[in-house]
Amino acid sequence: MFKEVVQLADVRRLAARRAWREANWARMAVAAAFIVVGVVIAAGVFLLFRAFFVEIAGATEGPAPLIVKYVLEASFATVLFLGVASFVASSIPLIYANGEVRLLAALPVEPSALFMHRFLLAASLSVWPVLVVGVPALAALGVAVHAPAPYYAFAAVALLLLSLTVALTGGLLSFVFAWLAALLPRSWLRLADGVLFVAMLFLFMRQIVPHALYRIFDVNGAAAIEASSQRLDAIFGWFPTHPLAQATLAFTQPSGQPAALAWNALAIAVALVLMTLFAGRWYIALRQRFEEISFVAGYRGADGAAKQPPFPRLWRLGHGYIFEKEWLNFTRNPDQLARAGFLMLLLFFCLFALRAVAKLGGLDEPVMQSKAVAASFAAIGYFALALGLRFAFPALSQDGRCAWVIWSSPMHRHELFSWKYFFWCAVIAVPIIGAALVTIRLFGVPWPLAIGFLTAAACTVAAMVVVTLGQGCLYPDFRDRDPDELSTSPAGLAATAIGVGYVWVVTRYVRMMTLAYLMDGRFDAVALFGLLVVTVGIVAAYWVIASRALEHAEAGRA
Amino acid sequence: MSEPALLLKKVTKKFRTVTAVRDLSLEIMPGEIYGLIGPNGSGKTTTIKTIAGLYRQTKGTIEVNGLDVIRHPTRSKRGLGYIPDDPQAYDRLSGREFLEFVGQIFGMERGRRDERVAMLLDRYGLKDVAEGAFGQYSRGNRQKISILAALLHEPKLLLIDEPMIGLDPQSARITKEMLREFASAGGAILLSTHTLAVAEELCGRLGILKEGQLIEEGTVAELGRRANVGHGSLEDYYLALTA
Repeated sequence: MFKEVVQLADVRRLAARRAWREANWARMAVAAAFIVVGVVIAAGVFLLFRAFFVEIAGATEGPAPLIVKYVLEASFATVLFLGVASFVASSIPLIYANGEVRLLAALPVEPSALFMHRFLLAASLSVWPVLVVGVPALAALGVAVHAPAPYYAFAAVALLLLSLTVALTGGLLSFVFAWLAALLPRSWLRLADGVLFVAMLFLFMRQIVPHALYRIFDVNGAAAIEASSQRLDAIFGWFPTHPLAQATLAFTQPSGQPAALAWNALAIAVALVLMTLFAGRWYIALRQRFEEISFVAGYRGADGAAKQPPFPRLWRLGHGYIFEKEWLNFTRNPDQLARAGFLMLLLFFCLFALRAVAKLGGLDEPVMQSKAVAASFAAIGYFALALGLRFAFPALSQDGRCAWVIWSSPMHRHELFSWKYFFWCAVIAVPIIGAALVTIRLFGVPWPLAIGFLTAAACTVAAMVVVTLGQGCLYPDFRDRDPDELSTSPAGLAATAIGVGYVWVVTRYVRMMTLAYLMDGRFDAVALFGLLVVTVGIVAAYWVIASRALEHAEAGRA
Repeated sequence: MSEPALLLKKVTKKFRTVTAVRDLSLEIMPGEIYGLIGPNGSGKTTTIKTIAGLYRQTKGTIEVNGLDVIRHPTRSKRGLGYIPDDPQAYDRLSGREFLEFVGQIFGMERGRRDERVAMLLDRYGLKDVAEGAFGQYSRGNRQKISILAALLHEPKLLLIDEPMIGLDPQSARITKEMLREFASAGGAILLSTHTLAVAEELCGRLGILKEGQLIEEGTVAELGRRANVGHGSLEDYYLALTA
């Protein structure tokens, strides 16, 4: 089996090498830019952790060790949560419903080897939380406590085991999900997805950031500290990352348990062997069931099922049928929905995390509070940009080989742009306005400021969609149908740069508004006017440029 | 005399350094089926896509039912139906939803649209199939739905790129019948194909494209005379003329 896994990996390595050699300078620049962005984010997280640990980890008495323990446990649990969500979101198209798997399954490849190949691929795509949160956290702790060299080797092993824990948990959950997907009707599954998503977020946040978190650290005396430590163990004890955090703490606190690392490694090895055996027995059967869901001859109408009502059902105004077509394309695509759900999960997670950090830092002071509100807005703006890049940017290009339908029709192209714009604004507004409302609730923002905050969020949706959709229309690519590849093009990078610039400007306005209200109790109308002017300017400019470009664009070039 | 349904005057289409179509002139009258044949890469698909508005010509003029496609892009397209060589449509819509969508784009009145959709689906016996998602269709069923989409709004000119690929013999016969009915009702057809038997059976006139240029034009008999190969089939004439 191992030989086959290596052979399959080698084929991918050769393909990647060829792609790298054939890549033009623009693609290489884009790849380099995204790597730089990733490194900058990780470096920022490292600096944040280091500043925190330097302040807190020096103290050996009082609640300081408890706070270090909490931060480490919470960081590991966060990595697990984000990694598993990422694994599950990408695993169905990667492991079960994939063209390459279809081809490989027809070849004499061991099922367990095929599964392991796809599993490792999905695992490599979900390792990013380890790199962005796990590595900076442990490196910062080491630097803050002047840890000896063996600490870093120990931490590297812990992070490797953490990555494997994430992948194994994700693999197990995705198996259950695929099994349910093969059994349940689609509508039930979508409902279950939604419920699971909300429940997971709620339970996770309640567990990691419990009510009255500060009480755990508001302790004096050895007995109280021990009680709080046990409470932390009770909170994080059921996470598979708990032994890893306990083991890592051994270098900074006497309560650490270095032997836990060995036990964890043993448990992971056993789980890997069991999963391989399990995959050898069930993977092919499950994949086949998945394939049969969309069997070519399985027409909905053939078994006498009721005919769908005439199209368009809801959006009859003007060219509303474009809106409805986009709506059906989006809501009937599980992959798109999974990606959207995953991004929403990250957004809400980010907001709760910011709230927790702000709570630890103290929210009474207006400057601190305005910074926290502005940081939350920046997160909302960033996710509006991310959603725009993932969905609105490729919206025109993804019409791809279907572009002939509209291009050869009497419809004006600027109308196509307008209706696609309305649609993506409506879709992206739901999580973004929702996130803005959650932020208002979390920070207890007073209502005059809340109106300004909501206006800024609505403006951000309008601007991010026009920038991303506009860039996608200025540089359409009808050949490349993978939305991830489409949005990591030079045009996507330009949209990212413009979007980040806009979010930065609007975040400053939000901070000005918040500070003015908290300091003087006045509403800063100038800041609100500023953000409206910037938004109207960017929307008008892109609308005109992109609509004109579309009128002269050519579709369907192969 | 009525005006041509399609008129191309010295049309050239360049893609950066490559000239796909060079100084092409064509005239197709209402009721006529005109076949465009030629080797791979000779510019047939590019010509059709340029007329359909997917590409913009580099030089020359194109008129559809008397309307210049550059000056009157939307009005000229109202009378045009296009069947692409690769019949892809929105995978997540059902075949019927797709046809209804096309009817909406062409501004059809709802009652008329639904009546036409039902009638056209009936021609191929696709009523049940049309309720399934387009992405699950076989190549042949995709082709049938795209043929019906082009006929739905009762255009005056049909542009067809490889009409018979993927069709079973029964469906191919139905398609040929529908195209003949369309032409006998006064519609004009520009048909590009590599299936010479289909071209010979359906087309009144044929044009042979080679390296973007129209090298011969005429009826099958006229092409035969110019090919000078004695008695033979269109295949013999074609091979002689493109050699």
